[in-house]
Formats: sequence, C-alpha cells, structure tokens
Amino acid sequence: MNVENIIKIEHLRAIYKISKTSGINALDDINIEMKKGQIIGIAGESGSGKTSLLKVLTHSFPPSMEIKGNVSINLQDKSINLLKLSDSQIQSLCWKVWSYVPQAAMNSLNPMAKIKDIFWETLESHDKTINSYELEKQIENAFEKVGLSKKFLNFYSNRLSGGMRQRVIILLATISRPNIIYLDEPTTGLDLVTQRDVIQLLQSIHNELNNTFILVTHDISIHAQIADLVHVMYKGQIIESALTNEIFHNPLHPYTKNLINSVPIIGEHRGKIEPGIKILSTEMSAQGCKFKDRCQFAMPQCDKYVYTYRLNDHEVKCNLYESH
Amino acid sequence: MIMKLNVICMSHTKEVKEMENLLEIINVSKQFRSGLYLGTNFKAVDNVSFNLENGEILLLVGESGCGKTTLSNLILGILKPSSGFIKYKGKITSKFRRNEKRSFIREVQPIFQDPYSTFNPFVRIDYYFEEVCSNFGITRSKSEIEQKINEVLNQVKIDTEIKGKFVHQFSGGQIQRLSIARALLANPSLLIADEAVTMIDASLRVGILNILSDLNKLLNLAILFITHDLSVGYYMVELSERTKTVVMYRGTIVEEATGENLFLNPLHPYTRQLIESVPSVDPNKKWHSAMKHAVLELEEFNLKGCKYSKRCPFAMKICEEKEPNLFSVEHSRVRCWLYSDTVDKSIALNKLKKNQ
Amino acid sequence: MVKYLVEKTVFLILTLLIGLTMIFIISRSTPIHPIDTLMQQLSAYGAQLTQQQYNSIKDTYLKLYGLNQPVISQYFSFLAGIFSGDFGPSFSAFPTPVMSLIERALPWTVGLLLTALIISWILGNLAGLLAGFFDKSNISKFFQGLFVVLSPVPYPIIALLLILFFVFMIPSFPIMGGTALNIKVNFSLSSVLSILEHAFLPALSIVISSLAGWFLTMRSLVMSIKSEDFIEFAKLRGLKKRKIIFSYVMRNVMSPQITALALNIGFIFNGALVTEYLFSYPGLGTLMYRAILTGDMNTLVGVASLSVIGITLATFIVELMIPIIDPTIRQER
Repeated sequence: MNVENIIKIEHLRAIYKISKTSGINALDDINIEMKKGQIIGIAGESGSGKTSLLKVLTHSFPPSMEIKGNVSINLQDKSINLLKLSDSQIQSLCWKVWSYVPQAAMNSLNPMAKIKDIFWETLESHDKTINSYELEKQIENAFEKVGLSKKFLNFYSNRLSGGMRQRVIILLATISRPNIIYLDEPTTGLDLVTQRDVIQLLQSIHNELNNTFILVTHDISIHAQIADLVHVMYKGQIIESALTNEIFHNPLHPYTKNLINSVPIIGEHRGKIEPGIKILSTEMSAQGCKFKDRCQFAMPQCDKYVYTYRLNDHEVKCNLYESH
Repeated sequence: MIMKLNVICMSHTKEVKEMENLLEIINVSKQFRSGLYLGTNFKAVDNVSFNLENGEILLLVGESGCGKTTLSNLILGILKPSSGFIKYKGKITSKFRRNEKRSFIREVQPIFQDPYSTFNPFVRIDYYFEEVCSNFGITRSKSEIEQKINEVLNQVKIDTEIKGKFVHQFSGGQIQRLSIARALLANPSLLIADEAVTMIDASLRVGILNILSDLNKLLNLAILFITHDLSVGYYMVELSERTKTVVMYRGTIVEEATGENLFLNPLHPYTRQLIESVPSVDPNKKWHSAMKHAVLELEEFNLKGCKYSKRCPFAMKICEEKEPNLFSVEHSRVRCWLYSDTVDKSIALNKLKKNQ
Repeated sequence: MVKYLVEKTVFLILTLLIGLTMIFIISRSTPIHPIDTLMQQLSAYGAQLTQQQYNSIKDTYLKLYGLNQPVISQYFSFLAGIFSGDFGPSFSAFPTPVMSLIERALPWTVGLLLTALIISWILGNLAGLLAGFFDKSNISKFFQGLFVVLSPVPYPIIALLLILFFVFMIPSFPIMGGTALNIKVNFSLSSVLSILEHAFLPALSIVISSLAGWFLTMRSLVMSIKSEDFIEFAKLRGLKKRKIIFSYVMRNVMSPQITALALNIGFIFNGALVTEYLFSYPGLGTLMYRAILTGDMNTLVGVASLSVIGITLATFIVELMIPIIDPTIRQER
C-alpha cells in the first residue's frame, strides 16, 4: 500500500441498468491512482462519465447503477473500501474523510434555513460534542477571510447572489478540514469575475489545508489555472492523463487537442477555428476506440483495439502512437 | 413640380439614412421593485442608449445582474421600458400598429440559453418547423416549405434526417443549431442570441459560433450577441467584419467600441478587470492579483455615483458622488472620470501607470 | 410596509361592504314577502281575520321589523346593526333577537368544525409528508390508493355509513343533539363527556372526508420537492433522515398548507349544513336550515352576514400571515 496514493481506483465499471439485460455504460474500466495533496483535474464534457465517477466516489449513485471494480481510500491509519461501505458508515465518514461541492450551488442551500443553521446542522450531525460558540467564531473567521460579511450568517440564501452562495458552499465543504474535497463544476454558470474569485479562493484553501482536491469541470482553462494534473475523459474512459504543463503544451489525443484549440484567445488572431471533429447525431461504437466515429485521423485498426502509450507520467489511449 | 420632386427625394434619402440603424435604443430605463413589504426600487437598466446597424454584430457583454437579459426582454417586447424608447427601422416599438408588430415579431428572432427548454418536448421537430413556416406565412405549398426547411438545415450544418424525431433525440449542440434553423425559417433581419453558447460543451461551441458568423456575412443578418464570456465574444468579433462591443455594469453602459478596439485597448477599469479575469489556457499565465470582494448587488444598483466605485481600484472622490458622463476617446466611449479633461486624477493615473 | 397594510385594510372594508350589501339586496328581493308568510302562518293557526284586522296586524308587524321604512334607511340600519351586533328580532322565534340565537348555535359549530379541521389537517399532512418521502414503500402506496378511492366519495355517504354502523348496527353513539337532553351545558365532567359523545360521530365523518384532501396535496408537494438539489445535497452531507424530512422537506412545502388551513377556518362560519342536518347538531347550519324553512329573513341575513365577515377576515389574516410563514420574504429589502 503506497501511502502517497490517497485514492486508488481499479478497473471501475459502472452501468446504468435500463432493463435486466441492457444498460448504458457510464464508466468503462477506469484506473487512477491519486496522490495526496494534489489538485487533480478531471476534464470531460457531457456524456464523458465524469458525473458518474463523482457519484461513485461520493457514494451517491442511484440503485439502478451497477458497479464493478475497486475503489480504496488510503489514510494514515486505515484503508477504506469505498464500494463495500454501508449507509451508516457513509454517513459517518462523509464530511470527515471527504466533502463535496455540488454543481448548481444556486439551489443547494435549504431556502428555509439561515446560513448559520446550515453550517451548524452539518457539523453537528458528525460531531455531537462541538461547542456552538466556538463554532460560530470559527465560521465568522472563515467568512471574513473569504470576503463574505458576517451578517450573511443570519440571512436566508435567497438574499445572496450566485457567486456568494458558491463561496458559502465551498466554505461548508472545507470547514471540517476533510482529507479529500470533490468539486463538481464549481465555476460553471458563474460570470468571469466571480469565477476568478472562486478559483483564487480554492487555491488559497488548498494551500492552507494541503489536502487533496478532485476538480471535475468541462472548462479546460480552469484546469490550466489550478490543476496539478489532468485526466481527460471521453465516453466513460480516460483517454489521456498528464501533468498540467505537459498536457497543455504537448497534447497527444486528437480530442484533447480539439478541447484546447476550442478556446479563443483574446488578442491572438487564429482566424476561424474548424471544429476538427466530425459531428454525428447518434454515436455507437462497441469495440475499439470510442472516439473513432468523430475522429478525423481514424484508421481501420481503431475499430478493433486501442493502444495505450506511456511516456513518463503522460499516458494516452490512441492508435496514432502505436509505432512510438 | 421640381420643388415637390426635391422634397420627395430628400425624404427618401432621410429614410434610407434612418434605415441604416436597424435598432435604436434611446435613453431606455427599466425600474423594478424588490421585496414584499418594504420594497425598494432599483433600475435594472439605467439610461442605456446604443444603435445596431443593418448587418452589424453587436456584442453585449456583462456579468450576471448587469441588465443584459432585461435589455433583451425590453427589445423583444416582453417588457415595456419605464422611460425612453426603442426604435425598430425608425419606428417606436411601443407605438406599433398591429401589422407592424407582426412584422417585428417575424423579423426579430431570439435564440435562448437553454436549448432544451425552448422546444416543446411533445412535438416532432419536422412538424414544428412546418408550423413555423405556415405561421409566418412565408411559404404556402408543401414542397416550398420542405425546400425552405432543407435550406435552413443546410445553413446550420445539420445533415441528419429530422423527420419524425423529437427534441430529446438530439444533443445540446444540435438543438441549439435547430433553434437557429427555426429562427431562420422566418427570414429574420435581427437575431437576438442571449447566452446562446453558454450551456453548450466547449468543443461544440466553436461550430455554432462559426455558423452565426457565416450567416451574418451571407445573409447580412444583424446579430445582438449577449454573453458574459469574453473569449467567445472576442472570437465573434475576430471573425466578423462589422462589429461593435458594449460593456454593461449594473444597468449602465460603461464602455463602447467598434471592432477589436475594446479587447486590445480596454479603457474602463471594469473592462480591464473582465479581460484579466479570462482564464488562460496556458498554465504558465496565471492570475497575479487578487480582487476586491463584491458588495451586495442591490446596494450597487442604487449608488449615487459610479456604480463600479465600490470595486474600482482607481476610485476617486468624485466617483462616489457623481455618475460619470460618457467620454469619447479615439475609437471608444467610456463612462469613467479617468477620461474626463476637467477632473484632477493625478493619484489615480499614477496607479494606472503602475498597473500597466 | 404601511402602504401594504393600508391597501389590505381598504380591500377588507370594501369586500365586507360589497358582500353585506349583496346579502341585503338579495334578502329584500325575495318574491315572497316574509310578512305575508307570517300572516299565512297566522291563518294556519286557524285565525279568522277581517280585512281591517288583517291590515292592522300586518302594519304592526311591518313596524316591528322596521320593514315599513324606505329601503335606504333599512339598509343603513342594517349596517349599523352589524356594528352593534344587532340583526333584529327573529321572525319565527319572535321576540328573540337573532344575535342570541346565533350566540347559542355558534359554539357548537365552531367547536365541532374547528376540532375536526385541526385533527384532519395534522393527521393528513403528517401522513402525506411521510408517504411522500418514502413514496416507494408499500405502506405509502397503500395509503395513496386508499385515499384516492376515498376522496370522491360524497360526504353524506360517509356520514350516513357511520350512522348506520355506529348508531344502528352497533349502537355505541347517540344519533342526535349536542348533548343528551337532560344534561345542562357547563364544564362539569358529565356535561363534557356527553358533549364529546355526541360530537364524536359528526367530527369523525368530517375528519374522514377531509383527510384525503390534505393527504393527497401534501404527498404530491413532498414528491415534487424531493428531487430538488438542496435535498440531494443534504443527503450527501450525511444529515439524518429525520432532519431532512422535517427541516428540509416539510419547512419548504408547509406554506400552501398553512394558507389553506387559515382559509378553511374562515369557512367554518358557513356552518356545516349537511353534517348538522344529518346528526341534528344544534349549530349554525341547523339554524340556517330552519330559518329557510320558516322564511325567517332576519336570521338568514344574520347567519349569512356572519359567514361573509368570517371568511373575509380569515383571508385578510392570511395575507398578513404570509411573511410570518415564509421568513425569506420577510427579509427581502
């Protein structure tokens, strides 16, 4: 057991069952080892499986989802087999070992509860012994540090703007100092200025807590700004993984290249950006590379198998590198 | 006789000159009331004026709460302005006669943010398109309708069969292109795209932006492109020939410029901050400074002076007292005291030089 | 704030005025003049009158009831009467003032309906809350089915079935009256027991009939809110189920139910005509029924006015209550 790896995912498969015999493949043989203390970026668009991956990791998958494989969380003193936990074990571990910042923070706060009560109930459900006065002081300090006024604690969430609610939810996730924080599209739906604010906030929290962040977002410029390494997902698979600098300066997979090129850069005249991906309405591929139907470099062997190319920490699933 | 002819000629030229401005927003304000018992009034749109010419792309940029959605609702006629007017092809929209209103509804087509919620999930797409055609009375015969539908599908680069299919069978990017196709069926003069690509995956966005730019060039179609994402806005400006960019903050226009000028040479401190806040796709270019934190939105709306003064790093005393006028600077117009000839801004200018 | 209150109070007064005026107009527009009915009753008692005697008795009656005055002054004395709580004397129970008839009947109606309303509200909402939250469980599905079948059953059928079972087949409850005939209404134990015994079946019939409504609306409210993001997030934070059910789900759906409760309290003043008829319960409903049968205009006007006042006041109070129920609106400035 390598203590440096806080999360180890082995051969993870997830299927949404539609009927007894058929289902949709949400995750297809995912293998990741996540190192402690890093900000790990998961990049993927709709249908890539990133949402399902988070659902597995936070143990909030619906009963219709069939999961195979192994996910283990390795802490200093113990190792947790995530998929075999019972509901009550999950309830006691969440917000201590891991916490979660959901997508659409706009609607994630109870509209009928004051902000301070939301903090109180979250922490109290995990630790009955906390002192309410100390807690209030702690929350007030945290609020001030991120530029939220103390008086917000007595507000109901409808008085806060989207960006402020997002910051409150981030604070909610970090106040118990968990080992892992999962972030699901923390900047989507926010305008540029608020987005920058949130990113800088996350960076400073990470510097302070020195724990592990798993950041899932389809916006790759966010990964460029804050992630230490990036895994790119497509149709339930991880098609490329590398350190941030490496993946942005030397992307290998055609899909990754397209993602990076799709971001217009102010001041740079690149002219018309061609999508570079063939656009289809229904995409079906059972065998071989999942991307072949959209790939402009598709070769006959892509129907049968996919080659995994590794160089140092950079890994990519693409037949273009078979000869390397 | 000759005098009469002259008069007719003059009025015709005047008409043509006025027609160049497709849409004119003249001192438009919209006031709302917030709260049940203790209501406060605030102006979601405060004395906004700009023109959109035929075949021009106007980029309206601003963060959430700046008034851009309210403004688009005012233009579409969903809301009525509290003061000021909106002129379409020289005629005031609130004073339209019935047939003028009908033409307006046909010629000004919206494209909304959420592709899924703008189509009736129970209606088949092809049937839907046929209905749109016959509603607007564009074409009558079945074959002409089919021809028109094929033409617009081609223009939005959808090559798959839509016959018999429902909305949920398409992806988000495709539905947004179908929204554009639907708008095109009406032979519009102006498209109002309100955050049209915000909910679309990044890798599919560029395709839609390309289509919009092509339509603008091909059909001389004017577009009011509303977005909070500057890089998307820049791409549209870069691709197109005649563009204008307007930046809004808390209901007022803070900067306005043609072409790429606003992006390459931003004048207003807010515009600068927006451009700086665009996350770079190069990991080596990270943000340096931290920003001042936002104050409660509603308070900013009712500030006496410049609405940005609470967040502006260069705020001077006059900024808090009096709202700045719109000053002309080279290719741009800025609403900022830093660009006035009469105000003493030595301290602020020093700060500006240090930041550059 | 003040503006809002003033606005609502003005509406209150306007609504009352219009409602009461309409009652007045309708009562004065009946084709059969109540005095004629009275005169007919006299002859039904076998009185033989000459034309002169007939006219002088009629005049006396008209003067007594103030019906010889022009309509406008009748109207104003009617309004004045409302302020002082005087509806004039009853026609059929002369000289008893209508107000005392109402005072006698009111506690029975209010006691019965209020209790039944509150019980069915609490039970229905609680059951609906749990059924909606645990909507996949078999118990929930059973109750859903039960109440769906029960809700279209007309109230008289439920009441009559109860009477059939518990009065005739298994004689356990009395059939009529507010108390047993020989018991005086006071706070003594025997009196209270007798009241309860007589109120049980009518209250039960109302509870059964209205339970379905509260249950079904609450359940569907809960089911629609269950999928909201903040409920999902609460589960992910490991909050206990009980906390989620009460602090999260219930608090967010209670508002329409509380509003409905307040409005229903207003409707109590309508009286429960069918219930009181079937169970011979001495409340406002019975009073109104008898007044209709005997052509007792003053009593009818009195009870109807009370109803209008009750419902209008209840609506007014509900509008004032909204910011109390929903604290988020209170704070918005």
